[in-house]
Amino acid sequence: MTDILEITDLEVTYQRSILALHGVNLRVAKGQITSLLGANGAGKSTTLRAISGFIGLDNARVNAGRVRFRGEDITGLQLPRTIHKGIVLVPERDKVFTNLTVAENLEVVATSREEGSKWQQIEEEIFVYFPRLAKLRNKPAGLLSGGERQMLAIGGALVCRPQLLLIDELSLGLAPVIVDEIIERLREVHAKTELSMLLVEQSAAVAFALASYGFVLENGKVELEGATEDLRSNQKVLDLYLGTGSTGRADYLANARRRFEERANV
Amino acid sequence: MQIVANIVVLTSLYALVASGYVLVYKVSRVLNLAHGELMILGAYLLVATSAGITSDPLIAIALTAVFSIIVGLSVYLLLMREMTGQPVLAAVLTTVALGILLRGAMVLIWGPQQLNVASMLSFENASVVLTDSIRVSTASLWLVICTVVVYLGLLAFLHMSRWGMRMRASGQNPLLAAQRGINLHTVYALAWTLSTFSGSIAGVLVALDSRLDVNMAVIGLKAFPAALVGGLDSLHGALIGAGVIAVLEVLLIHYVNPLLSDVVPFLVLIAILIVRPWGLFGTKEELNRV
Ligand SMILES: Nc1ncnc2c1ncn2[C@@H]1O[C@H](COP(=O)(O)OP(=O)(O)OP(=O)(O)O)[C@@H](O)[C@H]1O
Ligand SMILES: [Mg+2]
Repeated sequence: MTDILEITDLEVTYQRSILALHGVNLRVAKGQITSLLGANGAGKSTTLRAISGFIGLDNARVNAGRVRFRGEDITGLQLPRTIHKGIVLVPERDKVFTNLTVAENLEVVATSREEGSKWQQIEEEIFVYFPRLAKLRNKPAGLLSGGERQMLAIGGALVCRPQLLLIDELSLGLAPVIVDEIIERLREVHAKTELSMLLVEQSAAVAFALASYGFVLENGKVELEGATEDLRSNQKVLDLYLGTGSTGRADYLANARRRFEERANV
Repeated sequence: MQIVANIVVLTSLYALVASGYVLVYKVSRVLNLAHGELMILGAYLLVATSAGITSDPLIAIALTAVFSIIVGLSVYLLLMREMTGQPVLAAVLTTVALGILLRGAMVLIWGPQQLNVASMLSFENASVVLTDSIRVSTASLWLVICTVVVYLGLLAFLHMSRWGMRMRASGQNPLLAAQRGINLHTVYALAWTLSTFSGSIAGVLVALDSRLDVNMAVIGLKAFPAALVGGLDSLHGALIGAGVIAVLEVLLIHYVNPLLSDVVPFLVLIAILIVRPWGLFGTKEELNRV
């Protein structure tokens, strides 16, 4: 199986000094959904942004390592070039244009190839995936619920015609029913388009429901990887990300604390 | 009744100038404090065109419109583009510097004296009798017409065209706009161009109606409260803000003291900043309070 995305020894610093990723290695197989699990501050968002391109405001930089997309080196490639390559991100926060209606949110997306009449078709396609959005067509996105926003954000990303879809925190802050619905919709999208996806999650349950392979990120490094079935039976993953074991979490907290103190002592 | 006509004309002037502030602010959160100077630069461009290129007033005005577009585009590409991604305050201070530089340059090139643009163009600014009791100058009439056309055009553009939508989207969430492949530089350049264009129209018509000198840049400053009263990021807000200020200004000039004219907009400005800092129609979280 070929990998659409391949990251080797990626190091990213913020403000030239804060090291957020120290040597991340991960791959996304073509046509597959891959998950990236990790606790708060592990560097999940940073990884996604490093792939989809930082902007000046982030004051972030790839220090070392390589990002290869479809065999091509795209390390440090900026927006909007990454979009043109086919890499599209659904960000963690502020994922819709709140002052635009649902339809406008889809329409505003820059797709030079599909301006004009084909537009209606694309919109309908998104509404087929997310029927809930069709009813909200003329509602300002600022008035949508969290789940509806997530669907709209994914819809907007799909309009960009991605080859690789990056989703940051699919389930964060959403009610379980809505999460189930979104998972179901994403499965449909995937079944139909075989779109490669990299899914950032804090909930292993959601990640396992969708992904066939997964990586676990801890403090800016991949600590663990494996097929979903293998991760599912891994005690450490269960403890940390399924909230099943209390010892695991305590271990983890003690670990994090030790790391913090080490850093403070340097 | 004449007083109503005066209010309509003044509203149009303020609204036309205010639309320039709103466009740039709405899209990039930058307050363009050089807008007054850019506005009268439009009028000086007309002077230059009519003196140097053609004496036909209509062709001269059309050329001026083209030049104003070039000016707006250049201001963005040569200056404000560098400010993208910088703190907004840096960008605002840049516009202050730009305003001062433009003012100096205009005095150097065209001198400090008043110019009679209408006679240079042999434009006869006759008063038009609307009814027995109402007359307005030809230039004022054009001002009202242009304001209506500019507002209708802008509203249609912002809400119906793809690029107008992109401008609104970029103003609300620039990061997401970039992540969706919208080229922010194109959007900002568009905003600066449209803003300078509408400002130049106002500058030209004001100069045709009275005379032209560099100090008329203060009209830009007086229109700023109109934009702010409406809420800096709302076009129809700017229209209503312009109306509020024009009504107060005309009435106070008429019934109290003509000398009040220059302070009215700023009194309204202070009042609105205290009561409702995001303006009548603005987005509430738009202004960061100190
Ligand atoms: N703009 C920034 N400037 C400086 N440091 C940052 C910046 N953004 C993130 N960081 C730091 O980089 C590290 C990784 O952050 P990142 O946002 O990638 O984590 P995450 O795994 O996405 O966390 P969360 O689950 O909370 O979203 C953190 O220690 C964070 O403090
Ligand atoms: Mg994150």
